[in-house]
Amino acid sequence: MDRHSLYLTALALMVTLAVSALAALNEARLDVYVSMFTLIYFTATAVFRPRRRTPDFPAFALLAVFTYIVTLRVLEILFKP
Amino acid sequence: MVDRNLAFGLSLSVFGALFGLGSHLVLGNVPLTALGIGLTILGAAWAITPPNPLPRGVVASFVKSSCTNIEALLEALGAFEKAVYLPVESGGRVAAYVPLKRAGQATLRQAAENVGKIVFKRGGSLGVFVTPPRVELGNPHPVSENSLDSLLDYALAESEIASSARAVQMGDSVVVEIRGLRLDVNHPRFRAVMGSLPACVAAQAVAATLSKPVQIVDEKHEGGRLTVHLRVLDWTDTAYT
Repeated sequence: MDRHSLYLTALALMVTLAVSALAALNEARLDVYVSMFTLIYFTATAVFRPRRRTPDFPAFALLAVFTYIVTLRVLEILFKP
Repeated sequence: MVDRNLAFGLSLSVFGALFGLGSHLVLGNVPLTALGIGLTILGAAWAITPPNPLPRGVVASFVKSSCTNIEALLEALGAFEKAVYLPVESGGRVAAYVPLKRAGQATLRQAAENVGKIVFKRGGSLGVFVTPPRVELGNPHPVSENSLDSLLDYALAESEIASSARAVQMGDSVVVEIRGLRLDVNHPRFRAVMGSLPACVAAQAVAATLSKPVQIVDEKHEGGRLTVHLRVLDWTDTAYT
């Protein structure tokens, strides 16, 4: 199996596993799922280093969403009454 | 023409987005919404991953047969001097100049101006141009192609010759450490003139990045690791022609 097929297979397995595990733990916060996806995506990309035909749009999108989630959490802690 | 990966990836992304939106708006179910988002990410990753049109074994046999042809040519010409890798101005291409008679009567720039021809002759200087086995360094969207390390890594990993490479530049020499060697050839003349296959590709990547002529000085094998010493030359050098 070549590097790209391994990368896509690993990504699919890890996303499925993350959703199953978090659902089994009755996790109801969507931001936890998205943070896990971000972690999985960047880990898989760093390990398999797949070739890209365009700039890595999913990485930009995930990073932006992750930054938004973290900012919200930080603001929540700072301005908690 | 839309390829298989792009079509499947986009379909998966659209399905994931609709599935996630439906799960959120209609069912209000967080795990199903997350599954939809996960499918969208997976589809997007799938879509931007190019397919591998040729299996690794086929690529390896192409590279080996190309090296065999170069070996035969070098044998026929009686070449024994080390090649100089000359970057060609257009498209990140690199040609190898193999001196047959050195008289120091031409600069490397004058030699480079004749890339495209087979034989170069000026005064007593005589040499041939060989197209070395190479990956397209101008391939679309390599990871930060301006850095020497990433271009080397890209050139060697994409051609399945090695798994990674690192380079250190000190003045007019570059030391490249190549790990995870996967492909090489055992042609003695090719190795003597062009260097080993990983060194040959590394020299091309360095020449293309620095836009300067490069020559392989020596190579050292240690286990699965290869250390290549490269000399960066000046365009005005006449000692190599």
